[in-house]
Amino acid sequence: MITHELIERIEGEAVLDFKTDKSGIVRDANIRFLHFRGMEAILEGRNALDALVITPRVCGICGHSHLIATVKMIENIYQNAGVKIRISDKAKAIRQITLSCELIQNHIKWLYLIMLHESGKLLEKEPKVALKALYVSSQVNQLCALFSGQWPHSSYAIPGGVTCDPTYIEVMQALKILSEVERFIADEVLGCTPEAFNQAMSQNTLLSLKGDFGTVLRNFERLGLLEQGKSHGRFLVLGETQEIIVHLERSSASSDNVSEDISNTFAEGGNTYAKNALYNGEFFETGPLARALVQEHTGVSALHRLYGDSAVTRITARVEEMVSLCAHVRQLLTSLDLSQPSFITPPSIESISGEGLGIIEAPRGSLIHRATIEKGKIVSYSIITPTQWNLGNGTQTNLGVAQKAMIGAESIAKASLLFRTFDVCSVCTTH
Amino acid sequence: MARLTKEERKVSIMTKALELFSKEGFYQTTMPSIAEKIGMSVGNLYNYFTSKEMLAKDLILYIANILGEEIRKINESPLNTKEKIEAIVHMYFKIAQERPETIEYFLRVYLSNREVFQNCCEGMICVSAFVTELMIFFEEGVRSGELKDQEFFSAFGLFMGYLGGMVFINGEKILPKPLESYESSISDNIYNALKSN
Amino acid sequence: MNPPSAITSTMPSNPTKLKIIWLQGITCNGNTHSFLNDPLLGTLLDEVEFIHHPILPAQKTLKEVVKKIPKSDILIFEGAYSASFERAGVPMETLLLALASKTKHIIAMGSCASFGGIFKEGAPEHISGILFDKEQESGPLRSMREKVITLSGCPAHPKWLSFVIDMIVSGKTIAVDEYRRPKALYSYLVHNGCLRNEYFEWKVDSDHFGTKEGCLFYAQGCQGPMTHGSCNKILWNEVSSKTRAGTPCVGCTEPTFPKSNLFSTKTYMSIPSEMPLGIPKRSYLALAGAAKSFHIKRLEERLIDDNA
Repeated sequence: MITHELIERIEGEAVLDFKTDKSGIVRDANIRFLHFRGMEAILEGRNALDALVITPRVCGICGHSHLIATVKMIENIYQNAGVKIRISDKAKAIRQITLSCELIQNHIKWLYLIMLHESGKLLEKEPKVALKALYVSSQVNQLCALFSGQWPHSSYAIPGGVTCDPTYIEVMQALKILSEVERFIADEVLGCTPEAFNQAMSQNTLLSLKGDFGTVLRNFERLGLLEQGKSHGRFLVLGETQEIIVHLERSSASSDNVSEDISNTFAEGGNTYAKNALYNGEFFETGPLARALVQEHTGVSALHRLYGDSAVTRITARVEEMVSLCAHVRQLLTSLDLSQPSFITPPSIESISGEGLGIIEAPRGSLIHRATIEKGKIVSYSIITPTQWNLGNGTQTNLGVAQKAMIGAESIAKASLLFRTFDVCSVCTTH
Repeated sequence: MARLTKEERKVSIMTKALELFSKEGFYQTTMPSIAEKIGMSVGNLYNYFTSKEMLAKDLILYIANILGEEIRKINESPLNTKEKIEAIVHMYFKIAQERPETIEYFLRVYLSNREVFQNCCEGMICVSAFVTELMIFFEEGVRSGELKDQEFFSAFGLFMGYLGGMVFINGEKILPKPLESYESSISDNIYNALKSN
Repeated sequence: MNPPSAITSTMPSNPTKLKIIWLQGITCNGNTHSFLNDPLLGTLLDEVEFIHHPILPAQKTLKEVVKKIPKSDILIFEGAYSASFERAGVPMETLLLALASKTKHIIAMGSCASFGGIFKEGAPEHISGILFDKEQESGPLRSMREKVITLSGCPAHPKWLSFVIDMIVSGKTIAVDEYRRPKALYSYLVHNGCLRNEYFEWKVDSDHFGTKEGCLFYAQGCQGPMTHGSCNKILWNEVSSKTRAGTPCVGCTEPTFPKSNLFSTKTYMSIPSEMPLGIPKRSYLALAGAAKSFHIKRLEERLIDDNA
């Protein structure tokens, strides 16, 4: 039987076409995205710096990641054109702080608005709106805005640094907010200290955690989904470090091996706007789980050894990333040297022609921006989003990551929940 | 004879003072010599102007306003930029011929004795009426595509330095032909130097 | 004494909350996430309830909404409009019109819904706002213009939205400008309240980005002096704004958004091509020339010299 399931309460909407057998087990799943805005075409012909305003509007929840990818890409174009561009450590650190904030708020919203709700719904005990989680994400965004001016849709990172020139007032406020966020994560999300959380991962006692994360895991357990949702076991991290892991084997990666497959798209007679992102012609999972494994995070790696890339590992990796990122932001804030310049003026963009690449780690994984410019004007622009990796739509013989994770699920509802463990974003996928 | 208002009286004092300043220079001209020329007591002159510096400042404001008003009329006319340049050159030379003391004062007193004006006429304050109209002239010339975009002062210096220089040479009686006969070639030169490519 | 039925109808067991439907057109979800930043969201949700919201748990899924179009008190529309754009399989020309005709108030949330915004650039001939298409009042809801409140901005500020909702809840009339934006929010310019105002007054420009000092209007493309919005009155995320973070205002609340070359000021012979709103060029230049003549030492120095 074929069922077309509209997936709502994600960023945008998606349609899943399920093929189920007599007992309702999912035998095949197609992922389709029906909205398209043509962001890349909007950028062509514009001044390259305008991309700093346009690309954040790819996505309301991870627009800051698009900003940082764009600025890195433009700086890369300068370098490729033989023009040295200097960024102070202070500016680099501030960019890291604001980008990390975006990841943290994203993960909190995903855990509370999506995971807790959707898993609860399947057990017929959907919780109330998690105001406490929305409040704390607004606090994280406030921390970001102390430097970026606003969230969402800041354009404060520009080639040469950042536009802001913070004082210790902002730094102290940020640290105070961070303490609030850390307290929330310990008291509400985990129900224990970060150290105890790490132990629980290593000792496989996560299900006994008191916090809301524990509730999500227990919901998944009751639904029999904890160890479901396994995929290829292939992971990819292209921002910061460039590595892939294939069945526990690590190797260095190169963006040269990345390609886009358009065979399923409407343009090619298919039925989706989404292009697949492939590495060496294969689907890879990107995002918090891939990052934790590449960084050899003790707890997540232990969990991965026990449960592979199943729902429990994927969910835990995303929650763990909140914890690590808070520690990272604290370290960056406390070591910020305000005497350094925020911005070092590069030569005018109008003097620059060439090509460049900007890759960063966004909430959902590796985000790639690539463009060619001619005397500062954008000739072509191409974006590959993390969800194009995770939510790609392959064939029976070469299944996409989330596709493979859904096949074998006992019901469409359960498959849909497994789909959401990837943190679905349709606006990014098609852009 | 109708009684003059204080303002009218001030203007008539300024007109006389202007002649003296532009002929004798700032330092040679004194309040008593001005009073004598007008035929009023020195004490009474001080009722109108509290010092020679204040009188000098009011004069430059007065001249800048005259020039500014003339350029404003040109700016607001339907002429194209090339024609406006011709009109400004014509206007400037006409004033230099008919009321030479005006331009003389600007060149010989205002520009040559900046120390006098330091405390009351910083930067462009006293000539603002005139400079503002030239800014508008240039801005509209570039906006319409007739002039090339560049730093304001590069263009300003080219235009005004040229005209000032010609009036100065004329004043020194060096020019072989009457000033107005140069209007057309000077306008062409200015336009060619400033026009867009 | 009132009959019992009248008592129950005036005193329902739950106080009557205003019912809201939040519908998305062509969007990035930025206004949804901006809205979620409202720290007083809990108080707002005491007054209103969502029949449908794209992210927040709500009474009905979109699938249910399109099956039987419900009545509502407020329809919030986020994103740009295109007649053929579908949500839950229903094209906007049907869905938006159906929902709009069964609601009392309509809020165009963000610049895409207001004027077409950034996504209009993708297909200018098919995409518009719900009431305006750029400056033209030719959108699909023009026959219901009186019901529409425009909250332009990319995104709109959560407090702008909660202000409008509060006014509706209180039954007060919202005074609006020519684009039906609340005057209380959009009579201000982004320039008002900018921490760099003194540098603007004395025409001290910022020689480069990344400093606290200098005005961004002269070289860096700041559109604050000609953009309506209370960004520097009602601060973003409670703490800041673009200009406070040294970023030029990009004019995102205006129908002309997005313009081009957003990080540099278009000048003609060193004179900004656009004047601060309503200021005649002659007046501006006279004042600018005078202000520039004074070199104010305090404004030419770093504000805080020891942390550079």
